[in-house]
Amino acid sequence: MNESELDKLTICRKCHTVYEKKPLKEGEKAVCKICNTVLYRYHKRLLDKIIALSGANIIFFFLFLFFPIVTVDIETSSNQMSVMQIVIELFKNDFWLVAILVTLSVILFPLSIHILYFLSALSLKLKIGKKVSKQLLKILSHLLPWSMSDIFLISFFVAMVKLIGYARIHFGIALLALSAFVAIDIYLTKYLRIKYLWEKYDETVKR
Amino acid sequence: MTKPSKDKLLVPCHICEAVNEADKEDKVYCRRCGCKIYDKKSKSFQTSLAFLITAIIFYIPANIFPILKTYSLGQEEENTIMGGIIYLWEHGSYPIAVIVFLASVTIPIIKFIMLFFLLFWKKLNIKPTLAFKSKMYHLAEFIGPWSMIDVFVVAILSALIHFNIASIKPGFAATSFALSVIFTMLSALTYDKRLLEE
Repeated sequence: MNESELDKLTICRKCHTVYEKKPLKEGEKAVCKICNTVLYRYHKRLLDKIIALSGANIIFFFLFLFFPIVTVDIETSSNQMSVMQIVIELFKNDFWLVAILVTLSVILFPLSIHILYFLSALSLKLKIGKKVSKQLLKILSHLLPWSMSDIFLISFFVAMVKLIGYARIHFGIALLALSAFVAIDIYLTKYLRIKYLWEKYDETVKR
Repeated sequence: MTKPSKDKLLVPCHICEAVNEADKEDKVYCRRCGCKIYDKKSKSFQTSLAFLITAIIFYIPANIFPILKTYSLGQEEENTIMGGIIYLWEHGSYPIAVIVFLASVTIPIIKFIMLFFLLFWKKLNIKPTLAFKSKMYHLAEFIGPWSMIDVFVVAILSALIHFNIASIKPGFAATSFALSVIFTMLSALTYDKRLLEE
């Protein structure tokens, strides 16, 4: 089989069944017969959506990183913290390995992922730098499994539940920003999946 | 459309999801992104198994040693992973106790079993279908990072609570648990995809 024939095929990522692709209309999606996984969707203005959402998420990122996420009061003492301060505190407490892990999986990787989404979609949209966009997409694909901002959000709620009864808790603006960030992050990575960007890349290269 | 001949396989790239044609050769590199799909020379099996064993070794101290040390009004209390879950359950936070139990006890053990099965199904003399294996691999990859919940909880609590009257300090188990999670993720990522297709 040659390249263009292979390009017409798709493989279900869950059960590895091979299908021949058919063009979809707006609002339609192709579903695996065997395991019901969505194979691919029709995305209208995919690149515009990715540019807008990843751009917005870079702003949310800085909001949740530097603004106070929670204030904890015990008796008369009070402690207000942002995610950045939490990480700095971990380094100060010599909790090195976990501090590095949190820095990478909650701060550096999510930020790089959104910057890479933004840049690769932009370069595909403007049809410049094909080699660069391939490299960007490659780094992005390798980084995706290591982003854990969603897990951090759930962990934050679990930690707050553990504090009920010990302390008074006041949530800060960063919690909203973090929730928004996670929601957009999930939409970008699970719904507008990177595979569509790779397909766009294919289209621009082969044209 | 020409059908793939019998000695050829169609395999997806795990990085960019392009469909690739694999001969009966021992190595396939993705035609679109150039990433390795599988390569017999690269010793993926050994690497993946080594990461898995390392993860299991780190999982043992993670359960024995305290994950959390609480100092409150001069009293010191140490909590292991299981201890923390039992404490939550006894104090009525049932949903949270269940989440933490799933994340820190069930998921790692299920993932160890799955990866072992995926690595050794050939030697166990069973022939699972391609669909079964790839679904299992997909699940193992998906649930992996969720066991980080307990580590993040300890990190957040220890950073927030350091008052004169009460403070929380992370224990050795948190570090070894984090390492265990990272090594299982590495084990899944380096897994020899050829074993899925066979």
